[in-house]
Amino acid sequence: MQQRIQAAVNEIGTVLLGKERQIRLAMCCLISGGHLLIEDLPGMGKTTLAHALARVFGLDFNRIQFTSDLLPADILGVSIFEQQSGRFTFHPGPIFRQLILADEINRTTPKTQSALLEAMEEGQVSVEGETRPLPSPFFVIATQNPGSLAGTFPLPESQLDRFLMRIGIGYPDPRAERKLLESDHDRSRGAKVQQLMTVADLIEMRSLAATITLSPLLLDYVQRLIARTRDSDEVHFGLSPRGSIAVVRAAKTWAFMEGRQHAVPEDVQAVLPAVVEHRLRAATDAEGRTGTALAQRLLSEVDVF
Amino acid sequence: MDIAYQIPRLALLWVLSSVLLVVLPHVLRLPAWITVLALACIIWRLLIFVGRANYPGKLVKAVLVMVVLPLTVVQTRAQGVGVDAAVTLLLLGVVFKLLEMQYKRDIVIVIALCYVLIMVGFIYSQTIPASLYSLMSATVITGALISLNRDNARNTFANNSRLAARIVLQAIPLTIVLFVLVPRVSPLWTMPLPVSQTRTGITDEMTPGDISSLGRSAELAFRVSFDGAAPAHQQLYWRGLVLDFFDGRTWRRAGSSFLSFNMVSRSASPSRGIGQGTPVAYDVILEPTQQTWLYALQLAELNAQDIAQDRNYTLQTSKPISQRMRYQVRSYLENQTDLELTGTQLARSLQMPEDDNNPLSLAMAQEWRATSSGDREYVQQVMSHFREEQFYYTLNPPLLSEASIDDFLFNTREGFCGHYAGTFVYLMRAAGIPARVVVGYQGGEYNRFEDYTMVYQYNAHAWAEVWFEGEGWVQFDPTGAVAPERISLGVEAVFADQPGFMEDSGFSMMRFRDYQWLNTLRLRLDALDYAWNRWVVSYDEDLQLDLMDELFGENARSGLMIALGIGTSLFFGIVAFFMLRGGRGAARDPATRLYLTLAADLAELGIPRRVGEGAGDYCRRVAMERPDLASDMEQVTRVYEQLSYASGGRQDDTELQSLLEEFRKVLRGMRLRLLSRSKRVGLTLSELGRSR
Repeated sequence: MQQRIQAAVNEIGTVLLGKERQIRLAMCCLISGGHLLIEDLPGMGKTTLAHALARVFGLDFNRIQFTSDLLPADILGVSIFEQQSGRFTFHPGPIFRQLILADEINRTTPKTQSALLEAMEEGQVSVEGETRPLPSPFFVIATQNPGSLAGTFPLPESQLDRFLMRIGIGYPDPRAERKLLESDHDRSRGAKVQQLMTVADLIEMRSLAATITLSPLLLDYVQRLIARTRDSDEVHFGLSPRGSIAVVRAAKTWAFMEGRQHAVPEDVQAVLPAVVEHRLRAATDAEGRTGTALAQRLLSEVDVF
Repeated sequence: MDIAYQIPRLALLWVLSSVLLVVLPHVLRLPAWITVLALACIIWRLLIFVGRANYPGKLVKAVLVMVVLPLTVVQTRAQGVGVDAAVTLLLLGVVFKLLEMQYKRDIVIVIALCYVLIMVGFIYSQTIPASLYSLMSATVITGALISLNRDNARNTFANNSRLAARIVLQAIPLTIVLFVLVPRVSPLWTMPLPVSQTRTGITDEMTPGDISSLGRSAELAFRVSFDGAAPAHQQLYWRGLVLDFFDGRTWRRAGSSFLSFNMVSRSASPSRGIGQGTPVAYDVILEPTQQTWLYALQLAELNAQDIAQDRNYTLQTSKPISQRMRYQVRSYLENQTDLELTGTQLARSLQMPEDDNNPLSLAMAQEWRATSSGDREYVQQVMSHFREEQFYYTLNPPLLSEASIDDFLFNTREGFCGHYAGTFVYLMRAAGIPARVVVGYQGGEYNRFEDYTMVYQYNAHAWAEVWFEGEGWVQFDPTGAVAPERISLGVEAVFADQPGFMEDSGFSMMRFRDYQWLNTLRLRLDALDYAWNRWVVSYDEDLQLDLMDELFGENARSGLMIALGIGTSLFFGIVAFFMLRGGRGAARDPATRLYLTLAADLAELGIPRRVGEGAGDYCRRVAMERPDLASDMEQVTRVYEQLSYASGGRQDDTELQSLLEEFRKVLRGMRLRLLSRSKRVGLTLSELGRSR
């Protein structure tokens, strides 16, 4: 199974050059069954990554571009009166897919944001009094621009908390960029990514990852990390239990992807920044821009043993 | 803390009981109306607590203060401005504050005042029971503070008392360190201590008959501990005062003999007093007497600024002794004093009553002096007269007539030490030999538990000193001629069966000294009290420096500072150790401990493990920096991870044990190879033993 994961990572790597770590994190998030938030500047490959992921796993993919005038109904779907049948028929919105790319989620109004986030949490949507289940697996990759850009509605902490991970993609290194420039670049390249896995594989991996052993020593370490965020004067709010569960869940998947039957502190350290950065905020910080630094401090100050 | 927060109900009970506890010791000392008022206030507050009464209105409060202030002024006028008046005001402040105690802020004030009242208690009493009582009060007050600040769920009586006791107990070691080591400075001002009107001990006049009233008291006069062995019982003459004026009935001090001179000037004029042989050094703790004289053996020497020695070699202080006092003395039991007498001294030691009406005695003295060959022989004659004639030593002598000396010598012949000493000196002076009466104590009871001697009021005694040409003052004890066992065995042996002996002592343990175990108990209790006084209550700058001298020699003062620093940091270090260890203790399983020893070895090789670096990352870094260690390190890390992270706490013990054994083996192998490869000296075989 690990070879297949590695193959999938390599396959995505052909379109997103030199970003193996981000790809693995995104896959870890997908296998853990959590939603992913990618925060970066426009044009860094957010959409490419989402596209490639969907194709590798053979998922049903849709992209929703969030704008400031987008309404909840535009995502969830509406019932329209059909004159032929003389009845209201539900026209499902773009959300009824296995993988949604919610582009620029912070450009839309809080009302629409919460419609999407509710769907993410519940795995179902309620439209006009009727509850309709979303397809399974249901996976959202949301992208957002850094909050300081004009015309954004920052997501509140309560909604950020629903994303298992937040990653940035970052500029490619010079070699990767050169390769990118040399190649005949066009958008259709994403379509060349081969499907290497099926939805069944994804579900199997998910159940396998859940069986990874967590030793008391490792849990002690995780608890010390969590406790540090709660005790420290530097941190505004400590991690919630949902946050600590997320750390453990992601660490298990990471260990599984590494081909181990047990999790080690390195697994926790690998996923911790992505899992906690968006949930932490320095006590002195009103904008919520300091999570990265705090997560790094956490790793370098809390000892493993 | 929210200062305006309502008081938790349990906290109120705690505070009321602490107020009750701190007020109680003062009840006996202060006027009754204050006690009544305090109790009334406490009860009123209790009634408010149960909802039967209301807080007092402004008018009531004003009236209370208006009534109480004049009363306090009256009390102050009666007793003088002193500690008592201040304590009264403080107490009233506390109990009145109870009545307007509605919010947390008020209760905090009351609690702080309770702590102050505990300290005030120490002004009056510093005994062991008082200290234990204060400790208990402090615990209760601390309990009140805890109860005030705890959330409701855990705010139970048992919880609070447990925590309060723990806090107080934990504070004791620090208290001891600070008590012993914080530099003691003499107080900047002196407290006008309450002076008790009742004076105890011997007085500065002696009418034959009144020393015997001391014989009825078993109160402690002072305690002495000797450096080295104590002198024999018959040498223990504790000189208090010299009485050299006789008016026919009563002996008094003649005028002022207070030409004080200190030790330096005396050694400059050695003819005053010369000690011979080795001096006896001892340490006296005197119970408060409200008098200005101290007690010491013959020819005392001491170094104390506030104690002077007058020309009769008695020790004097400038202020009445109202607290236990401690002084250190050296005495020469063999000595020679005053080879020459000045005119005043000679006149005083030969003084006779102006209207002397003891013709028989006077005639007898002159006749005997005429027939004897010298002063010495005459003295012997008088002594043998007391020894051989029918004189009796008794606590209950008959009253003497106006001609007291004649009456005693020729008629009653029953007397206490005062009779014998007075008559003896009279006979000396009648024959023209300078003599004087000395009053003080004789003897003492040895306490083997703390190696000191207790001197009681019933040890009070009077004897004589006679001056010989070329010899100076020589001590004679006519009582010893009458009742030798008084001097050699002690007053208890003589009077045990006489009515009146110690009869003022009530139900004193002294009366049961015949029961062995009770007597032992009495001695032990006294020994405890003595040690407390000697080492705790009288612990002052000098004693502190003495102690530091013993520990640090030359530089006692800097030693004190160093000891204080080390002592406090040691205390806080231990506290910090237990606090920090509490959080991490569980993480130290055997495998991790072993692994960390390896990490320590590698750190010495220059590859320390970073904080937050996991075993795998560390292994990769070590392998990169020291490729020669890579395979070993990988093996160790693999087994360690297996042991620590793969077990999940599910494996049974034997499997874990065998893994641990394997880890030990791998680790030992690696460290051995480390040893053989590196040129490092530090890693010895004994260090390797740690991994076993």
